[in-house]
Amino acid sequence: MRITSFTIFNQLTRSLHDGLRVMSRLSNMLASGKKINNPSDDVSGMMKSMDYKVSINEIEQYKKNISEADTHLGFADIAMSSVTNVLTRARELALQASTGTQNAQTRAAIAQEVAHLRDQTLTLANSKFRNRYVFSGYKTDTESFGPGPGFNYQGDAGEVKVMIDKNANMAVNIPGDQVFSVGGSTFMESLDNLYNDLITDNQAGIQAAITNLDNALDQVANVRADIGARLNHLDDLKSNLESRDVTLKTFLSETEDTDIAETISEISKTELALQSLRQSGAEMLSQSLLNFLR
Amino acid sequence: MSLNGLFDIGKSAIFASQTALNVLSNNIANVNTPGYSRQEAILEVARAVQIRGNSIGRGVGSVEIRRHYDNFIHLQIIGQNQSYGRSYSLDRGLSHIEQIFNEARDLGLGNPLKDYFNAWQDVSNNPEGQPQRTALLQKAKTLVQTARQMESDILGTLKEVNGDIGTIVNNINTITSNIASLNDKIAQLEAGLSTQEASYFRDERDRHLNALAELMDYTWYEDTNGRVAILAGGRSLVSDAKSFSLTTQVDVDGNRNVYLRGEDISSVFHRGQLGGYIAVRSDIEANSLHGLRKLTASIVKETNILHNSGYGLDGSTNNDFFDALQVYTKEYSSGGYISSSTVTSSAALTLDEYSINFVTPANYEVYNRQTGALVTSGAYAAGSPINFDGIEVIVDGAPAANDSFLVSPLTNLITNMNVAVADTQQIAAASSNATLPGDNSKALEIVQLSQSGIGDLGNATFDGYYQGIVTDTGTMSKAALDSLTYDDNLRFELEKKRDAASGVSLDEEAANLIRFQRMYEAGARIIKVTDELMEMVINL
Repeated sequence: MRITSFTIFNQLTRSLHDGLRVMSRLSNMLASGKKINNPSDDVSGMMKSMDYKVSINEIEQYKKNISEADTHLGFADIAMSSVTNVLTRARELALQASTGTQNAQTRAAIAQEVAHLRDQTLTLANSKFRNRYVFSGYKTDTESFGPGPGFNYQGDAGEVKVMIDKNANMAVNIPGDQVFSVGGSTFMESLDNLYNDLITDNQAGIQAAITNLDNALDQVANVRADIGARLNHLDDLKSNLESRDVTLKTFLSETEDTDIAETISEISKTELALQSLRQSGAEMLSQSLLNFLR
Repeated sequence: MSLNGLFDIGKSAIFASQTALNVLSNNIANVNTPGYSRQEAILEVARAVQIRGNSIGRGVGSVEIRRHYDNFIHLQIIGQNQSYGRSYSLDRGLSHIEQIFNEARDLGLGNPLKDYFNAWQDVSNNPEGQPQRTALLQKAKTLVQTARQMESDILGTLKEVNGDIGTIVNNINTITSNIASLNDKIAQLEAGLSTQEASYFRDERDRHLNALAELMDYTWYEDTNGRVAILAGGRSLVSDAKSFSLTTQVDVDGNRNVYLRGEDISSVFHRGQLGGYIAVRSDIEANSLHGLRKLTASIVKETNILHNSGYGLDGSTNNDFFDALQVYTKEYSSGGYISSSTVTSSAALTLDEYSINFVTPANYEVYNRQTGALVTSGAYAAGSPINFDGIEVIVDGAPAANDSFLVSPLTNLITNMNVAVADTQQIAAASSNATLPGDNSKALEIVQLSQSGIGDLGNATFDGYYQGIVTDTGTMSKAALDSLTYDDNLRFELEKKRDAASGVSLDEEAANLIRFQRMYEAGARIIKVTDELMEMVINL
């Protein structure tokens, strides 16, 4: 095959172009920190990285939702712990009032404190968090319980659900009628009855109130156990999501991030190749028979 | 044989070496001329004379100036140029589109889509919260704007492709008219002197044929007079000394089509830049543009269906979240027209495009343009509605046989797309008509959309369908780039082969220069010696 200077020149410029193209691709990878800069660089890698990104985005949102659920349930838990204190105090007072050493006058004095506890329970039952009534179901703009003597539940049975994982929801509220009433009457009603019994010195009524308060405390304990279980579940899920997040981010980084050490060594390799190409090219192009025909 | 004969031999050597030197100087001068074919003076012994039974040569003559040329390689180069041209256009069009969907740099619909559904989750976490609702409207608007930007970028690329088709056709016309005039010159020259080819004109014509091959696919042959005929899809473009111009015309879809003598011949081009652009145009339309529109339409449709059934904080219901889908129609008919087209049930929409074809003026058939399936058919009555897949179209007037109407919920979707909800109170997070600010169940249903398979999208999720578009775009762009590299390398190899046969080697010419210089010198010496011999004879 005849080789002409045109062929040699073309071959040389092409090889230089190829080398420079590789250089530009490599330095682009270094600059962006990513080895996939266009979908066509690595189609299957691109597909994987998009999948990871979708999952990571979902997980981030779930984590956000979980912390939202956490604050709601935490708030309800704090309210319930206050309710426990109030009811325990009321039971102590009822027990004290039920003893024979008390007379109508002392019972009336105790009644004042019970009235106070009754109002406190109502306030707790009508707790507001971020301007929402926590125990009103969906009717978050309505007071959960009306004023005495009825203390009627004014909310509904709506459960505000938050998405905590793929296809998994959790209710972050408990409708008030499931919390503040037992055996058909609300805690406030029971306390109100106790108050009336103390005023009227109805000792049988006071005895009955102790049983009611015991039931109420049981009920509160149940609710708190429920809330506690939900909070635990959220905690577990949070650490689970956290570790999924880390794993996915590692995968994502492996798929799309540049291996810096490898890229730099590739660059020096290409640089060397380019340099030798330039040197040999310069020598080859200056070679000609004409140089020797003088 | 006389002494005088020696003069002739010497003279012939001088003349022949002069001719050879002329030819090789011209070679040297054209060492860098693209497409130049090396020439060589072919020397031959001048007719010998018989002298007493021996034949003695009478010097040398240059019988021919031969052009070094390999027709087979030339044919291969033309074929390869056609492939190269196609790959070039495919790569050019698709690398553009790829950037529009470049999720590697977070360009495209990926993030706005995630943000939109995340905003719905935030609303579901805080159904009464104003900030979350305002944020949702913002994210929805970003989604709309991004889709609109992407669509206009895709349409811009298509417009560029169509513009390029016009430019290429102009170039083709220039080249074919040049070839036609070269045909004429070559035929005239070669008819006069059959042994001598019109090398320069042939080289020039070859260059034109190569350039034409990069632009379009054609078949060609050379007739006995040295003229080439060029055919595109069996239709003559160049014949003898005549060339026929291609013209272009923009059709109703905005596509520029190629016409020859009044006939649309766009479909005969498969290779060359022209064939490449015509192919890439339909690739982009069928994949990127249609995919983007269908995805967006599906988001609008599914969100609206749920949102319509929900209730806002103000108790309002039956509100569209995005502007409702509308039907776009286009008429390919002179007698008939569409008097109204409406969406009767958005839930029944398939998000495909349809054409209503009139087989005869009295009967219509409705075809799904994506699946090709016959949707419905019937007898035509002017002004009476045609119903299919949630669409009602009323055709009026007198359509003729083979008239057709395009019916599509997609074409103008993104252009007309807007967030319909203006008042944050109207965002329907609740699914009950009692005004319940804490009710987030509808918002949760809408959130679920992002994780469930959508029937219209072949049971893919929104994210999944979008990933499909991106991957398809990436795969097509990668394939185009690969074949461009391959075709380029192959073309280079062929050019090397052509160069091996036809290229000028300076070393070779330098050696020949010396060779013919010596020949000239020796020829001159023959004359001198003969002159001395003559003198000697005269002085006897």
